[in-house]
Amino acid sequence: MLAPTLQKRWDWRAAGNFICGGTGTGLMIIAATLSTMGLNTTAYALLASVLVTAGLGLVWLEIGRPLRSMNVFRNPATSWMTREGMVAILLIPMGLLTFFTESSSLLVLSALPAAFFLFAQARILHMAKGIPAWRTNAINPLILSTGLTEGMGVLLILIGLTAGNIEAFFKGYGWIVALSLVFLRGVAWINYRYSLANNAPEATLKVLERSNIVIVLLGIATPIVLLFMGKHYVAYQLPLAATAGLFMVFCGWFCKYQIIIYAAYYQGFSIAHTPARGGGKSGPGLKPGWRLPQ
Amino acid sequence: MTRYVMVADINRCVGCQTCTAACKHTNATAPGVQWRKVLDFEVGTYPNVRRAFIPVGCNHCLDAPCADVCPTLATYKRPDGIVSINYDLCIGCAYCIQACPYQARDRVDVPNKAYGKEFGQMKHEQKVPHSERRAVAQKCTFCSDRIDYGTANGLTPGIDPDATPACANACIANALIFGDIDNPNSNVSELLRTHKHFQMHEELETGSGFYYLWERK
Ligand code: SF4
Ligand code: SF4
Repeated sequence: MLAPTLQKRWDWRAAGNFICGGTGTGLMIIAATLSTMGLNTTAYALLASVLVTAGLGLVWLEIGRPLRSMNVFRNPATSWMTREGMVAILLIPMGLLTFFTESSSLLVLSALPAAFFLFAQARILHMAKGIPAWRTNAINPLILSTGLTEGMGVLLILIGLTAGNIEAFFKGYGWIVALSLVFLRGVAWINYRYSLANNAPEATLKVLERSNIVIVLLGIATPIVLLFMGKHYVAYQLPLAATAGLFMVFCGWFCKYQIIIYAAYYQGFSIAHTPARGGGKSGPGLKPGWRLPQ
Repeated sequence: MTRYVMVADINRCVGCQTCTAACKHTNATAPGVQWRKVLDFEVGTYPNVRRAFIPVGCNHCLDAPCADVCPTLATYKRPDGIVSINYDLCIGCAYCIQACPYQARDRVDVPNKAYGKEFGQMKHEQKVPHSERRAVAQKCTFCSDRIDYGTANGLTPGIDPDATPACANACIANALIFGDIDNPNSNVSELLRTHKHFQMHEELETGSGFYYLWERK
């Protein structure tokens, strides 16, 4: 009761928004980036829009009063949830238009609202001051880097569907971009854990410690190895890239699910002093359930 | 300016939960929902153990994180410092629940039955269903309806019982004191001048409007 308790208010549907929205916007941004490197990626804009829409649909299923959902647009001044909703109105149709017109310029333009949407998602978590695992500054680079990496992952899983893309990916800088994203996400994950280490609810830290091995092995090491192998074994580039993509996506979804559902313990309660009571002396305070700096 | 705050003298609080009951009685919160709670802290290990009873609830923060994140403006700050919820605007997104570092908020979609499903709702609960609170955010209001009534009738919140939150009225030890911190001559300003005090989670800089007195100066 006094120690931090696990939040139960945002369940898999809310996590689904961060998963689908992050992957969708990451896909839009990466597709735009790779289109400037000679890959044919406008078709991904459709999937990106569908993912973002699905994420928002899941949130709609979660809110208590879905028929009033249009009220969500009332506070652009301070609420990142409002801003996320507003930019989605721009992003989703732009993605659809990109798909139907096959315009690379429109794809690059669509990456802008996608980036804003992804940033808004990071800030939504960051502003949740009641949950130490979310409110750390380090959540921002983690959500941004994992969204981009997941987007790259989806693109790689489906890269075989468009002729010439896999060759262009490994010949040009595409694979370097993918490697850098996996690496950066790894750094962001370490930074995130470091930001909480020894100053967070004990239960939160235990969840993150458990998740670490999965994220480091399957989300960082495996895709890096697979991408290097893809660069060297030309005949197997397609399956290697797709498998690397699978791990990139899986790890991002796993990481976000852990942070949103399992590591999300509330602040809990604490006192700075115990009372003096009558003529007695006051005593020390207490912060139950926290791992504190020694 | 006026800013209403609550002061809890934890030297006095005996953990009797009368404030909890008074709040429940006044605001007819659903079973399982407590806008005012009293926590029981045990500090230390035998034989050096101390106990403290800590009343908690919405702190009506100055920089309320709940109001900042609310996408609908349903949560807002009144000019007198009270953080309120407009139930008709709220979409029940629960973002404010995640943003509050004091676990002061609830969302009840289907109210619990006090004595289990087979007994259904109690008669008194049927009389005050508060359907406007269903599936939206809710929390302590500092009994803003009593304060509004009082100020409209020339009463002083924190002094006149009809203009004071029910928990502060009911406290058997006078451990909960309500008043205007912006008035240097108010009851709460006087107490804060004469006692050492802390706010919960001060490091989060919410500007909590709930002060705990722990020792006389
Ligand atoms: S205690 Fe929580 S609900 Fe109350 S004003 Fe502060 S953040 Fe909002
Ligand atoms: S639940 Fe209601 S009051 Fe809370 S953030 Fe959502 S819209 Fe605002």
